[in-house]
Amino acid sequence: MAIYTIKRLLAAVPVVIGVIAVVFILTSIVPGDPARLIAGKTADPETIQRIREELGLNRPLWEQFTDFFKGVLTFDLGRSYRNNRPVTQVIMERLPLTAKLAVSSTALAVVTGVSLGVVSAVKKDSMLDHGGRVLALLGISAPSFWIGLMVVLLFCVKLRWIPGTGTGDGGWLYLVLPVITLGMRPAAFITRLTRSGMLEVLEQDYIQTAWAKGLPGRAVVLGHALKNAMIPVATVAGTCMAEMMGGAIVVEQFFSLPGVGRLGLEAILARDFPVIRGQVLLLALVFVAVNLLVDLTYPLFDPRIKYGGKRRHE
Amino acid sequence: MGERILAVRGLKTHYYIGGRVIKAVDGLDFDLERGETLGIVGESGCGKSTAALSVMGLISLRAGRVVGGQVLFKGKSLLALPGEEMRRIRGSEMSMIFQEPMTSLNPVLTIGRQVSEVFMVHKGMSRREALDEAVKILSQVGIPAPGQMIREYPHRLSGGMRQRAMIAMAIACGPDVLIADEPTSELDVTVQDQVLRLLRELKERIGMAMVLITHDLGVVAETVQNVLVMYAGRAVEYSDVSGLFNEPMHPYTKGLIASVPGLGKAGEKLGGIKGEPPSPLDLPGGCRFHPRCEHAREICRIHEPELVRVGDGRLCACHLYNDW
Amino acid sequence: MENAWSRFLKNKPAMAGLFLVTVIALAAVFAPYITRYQPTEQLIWTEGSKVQLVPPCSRFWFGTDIYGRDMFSRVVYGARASLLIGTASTAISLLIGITLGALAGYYGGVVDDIISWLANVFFAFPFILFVLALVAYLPPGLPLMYAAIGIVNWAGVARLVRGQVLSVREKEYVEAAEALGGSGARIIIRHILPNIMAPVLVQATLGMGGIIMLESSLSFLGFGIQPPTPSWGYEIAQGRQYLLTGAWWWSAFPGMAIMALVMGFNLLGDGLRDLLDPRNDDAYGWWGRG
Repeated sequence: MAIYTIKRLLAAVPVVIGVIAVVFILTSIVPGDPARLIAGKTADPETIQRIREELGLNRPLWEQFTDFFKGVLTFDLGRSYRNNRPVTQVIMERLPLTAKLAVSSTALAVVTGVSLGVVSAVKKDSMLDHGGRVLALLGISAPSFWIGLMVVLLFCVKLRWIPGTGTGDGGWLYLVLPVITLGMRPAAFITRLTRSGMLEVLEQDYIQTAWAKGLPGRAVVLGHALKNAMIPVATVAGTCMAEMMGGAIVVEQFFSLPGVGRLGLEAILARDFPVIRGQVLLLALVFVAVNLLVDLTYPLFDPRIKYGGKRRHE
Repeated sequence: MGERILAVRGLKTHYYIGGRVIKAVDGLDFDLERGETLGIVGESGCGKSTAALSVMGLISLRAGRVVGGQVLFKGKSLLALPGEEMRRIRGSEMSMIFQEPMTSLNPVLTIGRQVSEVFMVHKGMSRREALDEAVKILSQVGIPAPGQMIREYPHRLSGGMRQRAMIAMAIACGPDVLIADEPTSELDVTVQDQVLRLLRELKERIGMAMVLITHDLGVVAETVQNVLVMYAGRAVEYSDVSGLFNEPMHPYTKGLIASVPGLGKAGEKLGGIKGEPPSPLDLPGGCRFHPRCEHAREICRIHEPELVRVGDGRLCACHLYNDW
Repeated sequence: MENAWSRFLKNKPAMAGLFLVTVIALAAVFAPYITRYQPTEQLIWTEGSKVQLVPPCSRFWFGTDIYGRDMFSRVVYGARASLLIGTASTAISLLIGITLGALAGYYGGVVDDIISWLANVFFAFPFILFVLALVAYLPPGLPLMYAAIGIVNWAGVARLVRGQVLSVREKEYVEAAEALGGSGARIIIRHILPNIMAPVLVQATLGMGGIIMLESSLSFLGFGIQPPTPSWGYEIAQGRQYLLTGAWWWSAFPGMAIMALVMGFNLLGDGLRDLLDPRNDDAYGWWGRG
């Protein structure tokens, strides 16, 4: 397992380098001069030139890239153009909130998605199943901000249970709505995935064996079938968590939550390139790490899978 | 005559697939005595497995339904039993093993878990006790090093070992009836013999009755006492095993025996049966075998023959014998 | 094929999807004929505040916004933006994805290594951030947005095509074509691509829903189509505060329109998969981004 993990980490290196290169090229060729932005509209040419030199913007692109790359290796991602604070610090401040959001949304999505999917599969073609499938379809087809709007309408305006926006004192109550909003689509997707997986598994010979042993229905469904249907769910749960770490922009913006998604948006608007680079790098690393973790969990679900993702048949 | 433990009367099981009715079992009768071994033979698709699943109350898994008849087990009518009571019988008093040892064990659960849960469910044992019992029962079915085997997953076992593990689960609670559906047809020939020998031994030791479902007349010849021959969802002949092989009565049975080299009487030509078994969607009228039967007469096209007594404890459903 | 087609006609969800997509597409094409007002026409200048935020009625089917614009008209015209971005971006991602995927699968070796690496880089890239940055920095204009979204989606297509090509290139007809001395490009275009289009079509259809959702998210954030041109995501953002205070129609109808169109493509894609690509289970198709 350790060897496999190391191999996978090494294999991720070129990908991460590629991501760094793409983001670097992207942020370097954009029209508009960051020095001018930093200096402000009224600054004289000398000031702007001084800032350019301070930032190293006057040097050849290739040198800037290698500098940036060296910086990455030493966890020094430069300083924000906006407030001159280290990029790592700026991002790390914002990370816990987004991580909280991503982890709890994924947990919510897995719990509701798997339960609904199992019920739907077991009660196939019942009203419950049809209802669940329609709900899943609606959930998958609705953009997250639209879901957010509906959630706010329901919980804040109609029911008046929960305050609408803001982090307040950072309490969990303020995360309830964003978490529901963010978790809805993955939940709908996992419902669907679990249902189709369970339907397939429930037809297998070993399920017939389980019934023939006289196991109660719960034991057959939860003890024998569910584990066999969990691998695609693990994959999707991982992917969506990785995406939420970076893609929660809309929801963070919607609920005015100061997470990394908002940070990215602010950085883009302010042309704060060091922050953008740092953030893209961070998210690529999260993506690689989460995928690796998901792969490492496969053998827990299916002992036939060896580390490396290949299923062994004997 | 021993005590009758299982009686099937007029069993009809139909599948409903795409709005069409498939009459897989269409009026089946047989009896099983305590300690008896009954073979049910027939070509694939004749309804053997469907009959077995109907008796076990598992036919709903295959989109099928028992639409008529009776299944009496120790005097109880199984078809009328509430689901929960039927569940308690399954796997304890009456159990079943299946054809595919490769796919009939859950790939993601250990052998120990799969065997021990039978004890937990039916005997109310704790996990620990159940695992200890699992080790014992695995050694009884001839699995080497059972203490380690309980921690293994099915894919690490050979086909024969997997089938032994299946058997261990099925006999764990000392059932009165064991239904074995083609238990050896997926195994190598040498392993087949071992598994059949094991089943015979266990049958003696536990004193259970066994229903052996197979298309392999060779397996029947060396394992069972009585044989029920099925064709297109019905029984066409019932006999003790020596009577069946020495003096088959129904033309279908004759054809079956003749198609196996070395089983028929010396000098008899290696025949076989012309044509294909009928589609269960479109069964022929009259005797279901008549389109393939060389003795078919007018009456065979019109009237379906009843299963009637044709000799000492033998039954046959054929107009050739009805005229007597 | 006859049989497959009749199966498709019997597939109720797929037909529902086809219906939704067709109705919305027709509405978009014939928008001037089915709407009473221009989508940008602000009736408050002529009729005053009594046409502000009018609830749905016989004159304004979907009500009006705060400028007295007819929401029905804005929703119908908004379909144009969504469908245009959906099809154009899909076309771009298919073009790049099929080309690179086919090259990687057919030639293997270093070509495959480089293209697969590039695809992995794009997979690891945070998508929305990428599109946001492109849209924010490059000069505004719709073609740019098509390109940006297309570039985001090519990697998935390439991965699919590569796998398909790998499995098809061992087939007899490809080997025969090679033995006859056909050139690589010719063999790919004439012999391989026609045989792998079914799963690509399925993925493209399912991808349309994702792209439309992504576009609406961008418009919602204010990065998409620039007002006053109507776009569903932007309408929802504009009407958002009124939704919470009672004037629900401003946001609600554009929201329902997005859901209907995305759902239409999802259902249609599912049906096509059942029809064309039955081996594939429905695991990953619907995971659009938005």
